[in-house]
Amino acid sequence: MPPPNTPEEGLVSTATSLPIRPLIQGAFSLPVVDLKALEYESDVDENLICPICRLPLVSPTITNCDHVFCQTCIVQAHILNPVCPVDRLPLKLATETRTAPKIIHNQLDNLLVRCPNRPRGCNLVVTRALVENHVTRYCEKTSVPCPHPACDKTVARKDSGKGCLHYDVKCEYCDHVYEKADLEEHQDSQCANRKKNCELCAAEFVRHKQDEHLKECLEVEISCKFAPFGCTSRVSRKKLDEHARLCEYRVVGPVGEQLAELRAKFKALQEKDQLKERRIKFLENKGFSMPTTNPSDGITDLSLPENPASPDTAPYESRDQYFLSLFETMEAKVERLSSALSEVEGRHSVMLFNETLPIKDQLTEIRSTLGVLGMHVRWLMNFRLQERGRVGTNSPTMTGALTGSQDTNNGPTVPRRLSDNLREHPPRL
Amino acid sequence: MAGLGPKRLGKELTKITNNLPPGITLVSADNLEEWYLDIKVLDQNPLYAGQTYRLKFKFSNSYPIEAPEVTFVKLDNRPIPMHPHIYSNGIICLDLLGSQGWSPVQSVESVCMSIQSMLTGNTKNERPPGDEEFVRGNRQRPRDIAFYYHDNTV
Repeated sequence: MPPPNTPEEGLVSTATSLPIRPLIQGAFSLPVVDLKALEYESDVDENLICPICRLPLVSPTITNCDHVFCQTCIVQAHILNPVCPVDRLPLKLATETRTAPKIIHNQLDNLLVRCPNRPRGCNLVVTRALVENHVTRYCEKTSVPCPHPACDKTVARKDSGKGCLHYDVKCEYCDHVYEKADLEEHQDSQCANRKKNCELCAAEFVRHKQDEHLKECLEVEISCKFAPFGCTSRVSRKKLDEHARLCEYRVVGPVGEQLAELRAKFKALQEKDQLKERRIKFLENKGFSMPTTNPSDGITDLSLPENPASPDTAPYESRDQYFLSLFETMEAKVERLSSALSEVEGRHSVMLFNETLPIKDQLTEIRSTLGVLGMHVRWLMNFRLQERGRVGTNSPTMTGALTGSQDTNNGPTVPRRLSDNLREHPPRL
Repeated sequence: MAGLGPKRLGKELTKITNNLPPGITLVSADNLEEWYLDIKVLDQNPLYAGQTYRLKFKFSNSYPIEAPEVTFVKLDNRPIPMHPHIYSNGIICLDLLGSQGWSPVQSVESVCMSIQSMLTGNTKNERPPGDEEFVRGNRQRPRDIAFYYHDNTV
């Protein structure tokens, strides 16, 4: 039966002129792709597994206590017991759950899944976000309703253009009766009577065992066993021995094997060497660190006798232990460096302070002298102006004014106020 | 979502056939309704030393939303362990297995481990109070019994 909200989809599928292929719809399309039934191409990270169904999350939902479940799982579990299934804190489904962060959705969408039509022959592997699109629109193996209006059966999409295939036909090899739609599959993979002759060796075999035959057919060309050493010729299986006897690379064969052996040995030695090198470095470091840790003499005295002795006599039973000790010395080194760094930093800041202080003092001094100088200049200018005024216009009013400004210190108000202003706000340097 | 139970059980089965915690072995899981597992108590608890007990798991269709029914089974070489929360007919009084204590994040493995630790921590060589009467009268499924958790110390 169609889901309650399908009428629109029905309209879409009848409009055949749509640029994208119509969605399939019908009795079986209710959940077009059941994401929970998908097979995943590789192992999925444990963190993306729903703790309830133990499958990669489908529409992940996060609780206020930060646990993530499939939406359907948490809803089902909540009906039985209204608590968070992980920590059993009371949980209100409507207000205390929300859809999980986008990053989880993205991670889930990127998981690689196999097309659910794999049993019917579609070997596609796609990301989970696209699988539904693939199945509903593109997968040739998806079952779609038979194009014949009176027929209610389904047919693979690739055959949907051939008209109704739901009539019975007889297999020409084994006399069983099949529907036309199933006949091809039957003949390709099941029919025991459909024989085929090998194109190379003329041996007869059952059609659906073709692949197995190819693995043992004497005429199939395979590459020479000296191929890793450079022989590029391909000969039939039955002539392989003969070729091996004559192959130009047969001389190289044993040498090549030895080479491979040596290579492996070399690799092992290299690894060993690397390990030794690290160890030497480590011991050197230890030698260096000894004098620097000297200030506390009592402690070094205690550790001295055992430290030089230990590296000589089978010091580290396992590699882990060795690395651990290496790590410890590194840690100590880093600690020392950081303390040195902070010391340098402190020294630096004090130095900076000491340097800047006299500069600042000088600056204020300069500023004050400048203020004084400015005052003097202004006074002089003023004086000069008044002098010129007296010389230029001998009007009585001006002289009257001049007598008033005989003592310029508390003379005319305007220039005086100006200089006052300047003294309060000396020009910034 | 009827398909959830079998799928999840299948996943659990592949996991526990590959590795189980020490002291727990899978005896049979021929279908997805009833499994049998053997458990041993690993430390030197004199009550259980050297013994092996058989657990029966019965799964309903709505597992893991609903708890499985877990009981001990009595066989010739598989006794019912002595414990103040285990009746002599094998019924286990454990909140984890009731509808209130169950959580769908539990699994067969975790239930086994809980029972294992419940035995490990026990020192009393006794049956629950009213054991005989209960065993004689009880015809209910374990899940439906309204246990009164009278004792939280064990």
